[in-house]
Amino acid sequence: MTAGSREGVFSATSTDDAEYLVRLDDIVYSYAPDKEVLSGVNLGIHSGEFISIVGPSGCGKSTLLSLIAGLAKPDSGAIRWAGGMSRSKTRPLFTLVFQKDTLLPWLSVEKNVSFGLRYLDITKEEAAARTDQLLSLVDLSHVRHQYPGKLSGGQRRRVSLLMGIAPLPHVLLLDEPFSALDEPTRIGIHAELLKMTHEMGITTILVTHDIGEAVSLSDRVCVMSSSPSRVASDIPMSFEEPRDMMMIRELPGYQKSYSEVWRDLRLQIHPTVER
Amino acid sequence: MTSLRTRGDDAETTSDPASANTSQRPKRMSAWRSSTRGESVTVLFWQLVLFFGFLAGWEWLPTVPFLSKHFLFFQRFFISSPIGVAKMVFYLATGKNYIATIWGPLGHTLSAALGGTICAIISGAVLGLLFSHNAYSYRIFRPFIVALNAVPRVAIIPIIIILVKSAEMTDAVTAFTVVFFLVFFNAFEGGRSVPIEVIQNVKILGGTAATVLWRVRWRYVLAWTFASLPNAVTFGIVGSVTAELFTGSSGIGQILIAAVDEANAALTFGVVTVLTICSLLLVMGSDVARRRLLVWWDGGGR
Repeated sequence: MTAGSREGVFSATSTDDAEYLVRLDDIVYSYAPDKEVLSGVNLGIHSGEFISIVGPSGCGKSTLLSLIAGLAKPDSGAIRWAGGMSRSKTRPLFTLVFQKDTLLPWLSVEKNVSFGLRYLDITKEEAAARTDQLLSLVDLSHVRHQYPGKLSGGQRRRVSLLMGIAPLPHVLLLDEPFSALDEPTRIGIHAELLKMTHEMGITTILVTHDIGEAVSLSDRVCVMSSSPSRVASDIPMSFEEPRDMMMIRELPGYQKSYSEVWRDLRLQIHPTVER
Repeated sequence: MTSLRTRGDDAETTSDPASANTSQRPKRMSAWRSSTRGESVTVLFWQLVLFFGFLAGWEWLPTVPFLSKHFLFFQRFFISSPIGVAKMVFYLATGKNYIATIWGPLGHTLSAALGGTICAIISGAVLGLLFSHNAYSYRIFRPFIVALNAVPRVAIIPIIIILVKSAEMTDAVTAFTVVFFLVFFNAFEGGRSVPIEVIQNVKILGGTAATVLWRVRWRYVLAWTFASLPNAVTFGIVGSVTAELFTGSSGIGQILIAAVDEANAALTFGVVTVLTICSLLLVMGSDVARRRLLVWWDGGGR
């Protein structure tokens, strides 16, 4: 996938179905009859894109991921996959990396990483080779036989990420997976994540409250309004590819994009403050 | 492929040979290990001080006229002495001094206790797993389970005797009734403790309800069941001996009844000592089994 194909400006109101891998049409969702959290969310994601969703606390960012993952059903609206895509025997439609730890503590690191592969129609040799490749990509080969309880926070997050990436999903859903990590560790994992998703052609949707993370990783950043929320703005990020995660924050365009996202987010949090 | 790691990322890892600060690690680890070892020695020291202090007090305090005169608790007749108990344990073990050996009754009691305990552990763990997997069923059965648990076991021993028509089986069934609920509630809590995100993740990765039951929830149930093993073993022995005291037909309970009838404090404490040693050994054994089988659990620091 080329960088150019990742930089198209997205229109939240576009109706061109063929363009999108997955499209959310007018999604409405309520926790309770009088507690609507999502109020007509329209969003389309192109194949191979990396998009981030930011928004005020409680605006339903994680709920949106749960809806895409099928963990909850919208009250109205639809989630449409390109060409009626569904989970295949060799590649799942999506996987989800949670904010909380979902590693299985009785399995070694490598068995955690390959856990999702047992449900795919691939040989043991293929599964082992893919696990090896992923572990070496994030430099975890030396702890492959250890239990998760022996790992550091950064290593555990890496293994969680690999658990989601190993089945090579069409869409990788990330629900604030790096929020508990220190900055250097987080930047290291960002670089690894970008490298893996680019190399494997995985579309990624990241929910985060960290604007810097969203700007540095994404092709587009969607800012949600306050609850009951919708997509308030959709801001394209243009950086030279491949991105250097260690240096991206030094680029002049970074600060401009950061300010743009922050301004839109601030307007959702404090709508009375002048733009 | 290039590695994209950052400095200090693995600083908390306990066994990462490739860590950047390797020069500091051996010293720190060595200091930590020696401090842990030192702490263990101190703990053992205080345990020995308490044990021998207790024995010394038991031996010496009844010789104080004031205490033995004013407190029944300090009279040799009622509490014997450590030396007298040690002699009795020797006689019980060897059959000397016209005392029958304890091995036969002890074997009877322990086999009944272990039989009942093992059955209770298996059934408690399986039922705990099934109920934890199906919260709706548990809501229906909960009041009945709690009510059954509240029934005093001693009160139903006569019913058990009538039902099973055998003293040996009564011991095992009583042990079962005592241990079952302990294991069941532990297993149930273990099954319910699986984070919802773990279950959702397994399902998203392709797992079915059966996968969640046997590959995920069962592991948590096993861990919590093994955690209850030391208590289960002790409770099993207590249940079995209680039944023997009630029926008075065999096992350690029969010897205890005989000792009380003869007002033989040394025999009573001797039998209790043997039973305590056996319980301690079984608890230590179950603890070793738990550690071996649940390496990952200890690895998680829980």
